[in-house]
Amino acid sequence: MKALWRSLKQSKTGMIGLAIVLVVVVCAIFAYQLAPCDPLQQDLMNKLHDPAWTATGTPEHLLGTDQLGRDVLSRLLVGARITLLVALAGTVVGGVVGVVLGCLAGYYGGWVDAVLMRLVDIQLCFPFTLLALFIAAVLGGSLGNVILIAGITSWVRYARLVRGEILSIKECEYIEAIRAEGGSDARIIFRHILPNVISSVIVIATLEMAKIVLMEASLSFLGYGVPVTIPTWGRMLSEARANMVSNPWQCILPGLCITLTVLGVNLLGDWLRDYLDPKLDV
Amino acid sequence: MKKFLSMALCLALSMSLLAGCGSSASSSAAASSEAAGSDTPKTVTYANASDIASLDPRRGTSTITASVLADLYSTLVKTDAEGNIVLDAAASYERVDDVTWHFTLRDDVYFTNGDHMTSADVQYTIDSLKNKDAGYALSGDFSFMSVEVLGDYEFNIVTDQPFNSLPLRLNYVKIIPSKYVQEVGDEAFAKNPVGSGPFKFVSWTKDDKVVMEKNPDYYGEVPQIDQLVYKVIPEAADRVAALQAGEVDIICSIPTTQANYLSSTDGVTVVGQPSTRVVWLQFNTINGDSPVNDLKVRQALNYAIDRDSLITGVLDGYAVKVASISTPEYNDYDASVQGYTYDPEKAKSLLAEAGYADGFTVDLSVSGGFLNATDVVQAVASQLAEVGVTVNIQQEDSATQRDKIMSGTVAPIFLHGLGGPYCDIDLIASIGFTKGGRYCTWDSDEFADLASRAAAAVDDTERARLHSEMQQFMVDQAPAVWLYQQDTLYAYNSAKVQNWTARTDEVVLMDGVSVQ
Amino acid sequence: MAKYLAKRLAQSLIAILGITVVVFVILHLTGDPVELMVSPTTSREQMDILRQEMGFNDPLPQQYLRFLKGAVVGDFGTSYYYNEPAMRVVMERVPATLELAVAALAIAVVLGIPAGVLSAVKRNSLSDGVIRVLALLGQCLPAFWLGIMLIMAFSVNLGWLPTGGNSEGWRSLIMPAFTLGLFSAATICRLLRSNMIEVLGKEYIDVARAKGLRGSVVVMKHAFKNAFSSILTMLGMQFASLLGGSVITETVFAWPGIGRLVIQSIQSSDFAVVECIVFLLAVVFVVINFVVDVLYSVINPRVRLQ
Repeated sequence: MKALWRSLKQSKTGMIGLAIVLVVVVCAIFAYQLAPCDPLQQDLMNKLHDPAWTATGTPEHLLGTDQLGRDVLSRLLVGARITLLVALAGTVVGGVVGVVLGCLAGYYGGWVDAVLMRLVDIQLCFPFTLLALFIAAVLGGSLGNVILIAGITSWVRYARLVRGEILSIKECEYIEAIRAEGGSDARIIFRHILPNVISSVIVIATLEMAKIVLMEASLSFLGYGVPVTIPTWGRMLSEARANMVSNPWQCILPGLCITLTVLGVNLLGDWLRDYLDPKLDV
Repeated sequence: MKKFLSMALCLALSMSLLAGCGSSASSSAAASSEAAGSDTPKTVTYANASDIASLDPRRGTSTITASVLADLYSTLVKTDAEGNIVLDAAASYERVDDVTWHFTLRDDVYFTNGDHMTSADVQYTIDSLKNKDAGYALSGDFSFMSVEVLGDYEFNIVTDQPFNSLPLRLNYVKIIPSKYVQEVGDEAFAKNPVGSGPFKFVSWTKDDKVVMEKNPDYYGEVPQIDQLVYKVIPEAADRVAALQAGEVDIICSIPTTQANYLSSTDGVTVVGQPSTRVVWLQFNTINGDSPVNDLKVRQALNYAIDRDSLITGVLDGYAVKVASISTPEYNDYDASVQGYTYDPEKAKSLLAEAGYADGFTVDLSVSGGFLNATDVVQAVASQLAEVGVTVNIQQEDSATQRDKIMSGTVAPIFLHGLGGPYCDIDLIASIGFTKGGRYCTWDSDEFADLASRAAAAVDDTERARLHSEMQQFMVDQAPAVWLYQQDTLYAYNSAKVQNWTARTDEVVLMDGVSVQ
Repeated sequence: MAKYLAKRLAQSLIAILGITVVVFVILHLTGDPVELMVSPTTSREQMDILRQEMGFNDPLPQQYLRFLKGAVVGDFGTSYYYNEPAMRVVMERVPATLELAVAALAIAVVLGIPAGVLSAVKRNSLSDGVIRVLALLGQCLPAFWLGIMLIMAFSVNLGWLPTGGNSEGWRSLIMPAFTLGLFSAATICRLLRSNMIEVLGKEYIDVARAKGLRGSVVVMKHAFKNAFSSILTMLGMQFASLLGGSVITETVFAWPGIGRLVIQSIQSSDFAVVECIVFLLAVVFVVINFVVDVLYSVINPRVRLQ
């Protein structure tokens, strides 16, 4: 742990990444405490205000109001919550599915491996955005479905990694020895194989998390994300686009939030890779 | 070189950010309007959100398609900007009996390939629509009529049943050249359409634009512009930007917030034209047990919604409240029918009477396509919350929503509406509220009977009486919360474009337009 | 070698087949397009009859086999929206998408390769730092936001470029190509940098330097050449993903290519067109993948053993 901190302190970019991520996490956790207004409260008489520092802004709404008079700052804060929720849950779903399938494929080989690897092939041949769109169009937009989509579109990298690692470890003598002693498959996988891949999995998970943030925003932007009543950055951007010419700030702010968050997670991921697993090619 | 490139990348990024923050109201459309001298062709470009469906009028669904087709083809009769029926290729017509209408064709109508338009072309147009194998998208709307040729310019149109709105419906039947179509086949015709309208077809680049030029031999008033371009610009904000940059001269379907913004721009005129498109919140009463099956609940929700605040707050005033199924533009509109007033207390007491004193939770489905649709339903949701009804908004594709409406599985409340070139009270009643109609989610034999009697009534006073009875019935039984007729919003470069008028039926016509 | 090729080929075919199954099932769960094909006054019974006639009531496997039979000979059925063979509708849009993808790839190469080389050679310098930040930013900018920002800057405020469409030649192309290419540029830059740093650290570079070769010659001749083989394989994959990834860029810039067509077709349940696009994209993906794999195994025979 100390070594981790020391390495982080030496990495300027890692620190910046950590700082950004921490800010997002704090905003997400305390969204409702920090928000000056109810993010869903409409005020039709005070709609489309620009931020307070512009000529047409009002001090009551620091970042202005949207097309229904809702406070943009409050919506951005609550948006951070949704973004973080989808990113974390999606990463967990994708990671668990990927690791489990990768273990099965690598450890048992044979037809299990063949089937799973063809599944991987199929998914790799399928443009990522299209896949997400398809599933969203069929399942409809709900928070759960978006998380599911995040998982479905990200499991492949974990599966390939874990499978590869297991293939190389499986035949090692000490594994053979454990097996000869009657160690169960589960025991071998959990006690001896997974610990070897966990650092790579963490690195991939961080980088996938950045992708998931982008994916969720893209889906919301295209109108396939979470329901309209849940404020998300992607949806705010898509709703603001109609007023791009007259109220540019409405478009700029949510996009900045998305970019900064993705940047933070990526910076952190880059540092983690350098620290945990410099040889991992991602 | 490398440095330059990384600098350029850096510059482009920062510029995009900086420029985005600056004030954008300074650019003016007038600055970029082209000088239309005698040498340069006079071109008018107008833009709307989606591409046309086809250049073959028999497949021409959607109002946007109808607009382009109306520039290329003639019809027997047409409607003027206010919706009154006027003659087009027909010289005269009269109703002979309940089902027979006698028409005389003008003798000076020529297709752009030189063919003379005769009764045979009218007959071919309507007969070929009935060809089931060809799968013409519009066949269902016109298959109830047939043509009896009496002479080169004389013919009767006979309908299967008395059909009062025939002239209105004929406004949509674009006459196609029978000889040419049969000679080259449907596919070649759709690629290279030949009509007899004010403009001639030049080219169609899918998802981009349709180019037309004036038809110098047009039998009516020859257009004053040389070229007409219809441009597809899907995003409303991009249409606004394109108008400001002078890329286009007229833009359609702009968001209400941008209408306010554009009206303050020099050289731009904004038109909010009340359209015949009626928008309502429809109740799905045929999907099992649902609170909206109860008349009292439906009435309560009618009382709970403040349409005035929706119109001023969300629609920026670009809509007109309706009391019931009809609008003043439709035949037999009854102004004495009173709609619901905004009365949340009454709503609460009605809900209590129905056994929902503590309110309930209900899904509300919305798809794109209507003016500010997502904003409207979000405002509705917050109004209904005031009387204790919690609304879950489901945003769906229009195709998905339609499927669900037709299978009766749509959410208990959904935003819906009808309009367009041949919309009237009979059409809304039959499609939306008569059992078996494709969008009907309500089961009322009484209304079905009323509607069918009204549609078939030949006597004017009797028909008017039935129509006003229908309007009252729709209020009393509240199968929907009647909201408003939405405006169609246009903005145009008034420094350049002259003599252009918006129409109630959402069709955009360019025949009288001139440029400065 | 032949055995390896045959195996890869078989795997590719299975992948394509799998994709068609997935797409077919997903699409047919979303609804049916009969609604699109008829006029508003058509009754429900008439529509049921049509549904029956079109075969939408047949069991799914039967419909799938019918689809597959057609797909093999390039017949994906008729687009319900355009009333033309789906293949033709898609093919009309392919040139626009190719144009955009090629331009984006060009931008990616022109920006990414020099930046990557510079960054690796001048490691830990100021320009390295700037490039690394920009490259990372390039990977973090959401394409839809970048596109809107560019439109706001260059179309709305400056009025230099059209907001969208592709009717004005390079003026229409520049913003979408940049938006689409930036991510690839950043990816190429980062990969090239790390590869070259690795190669530059190898002994034979030192040997070359010791022989008295000038610094820039060393970089170009040895380090770049070595790093380039991996870039080449990546370019192939980038191009394939540009073709598929243009969905958002084309939507933002109203670019009349297959990316926008596929979204429109999903929204309007125009099955034939969606199936056609996905099938074609999958084939392109698989073919590029296959070629890259084979090239790679020719260059580097050890790979085959894995």
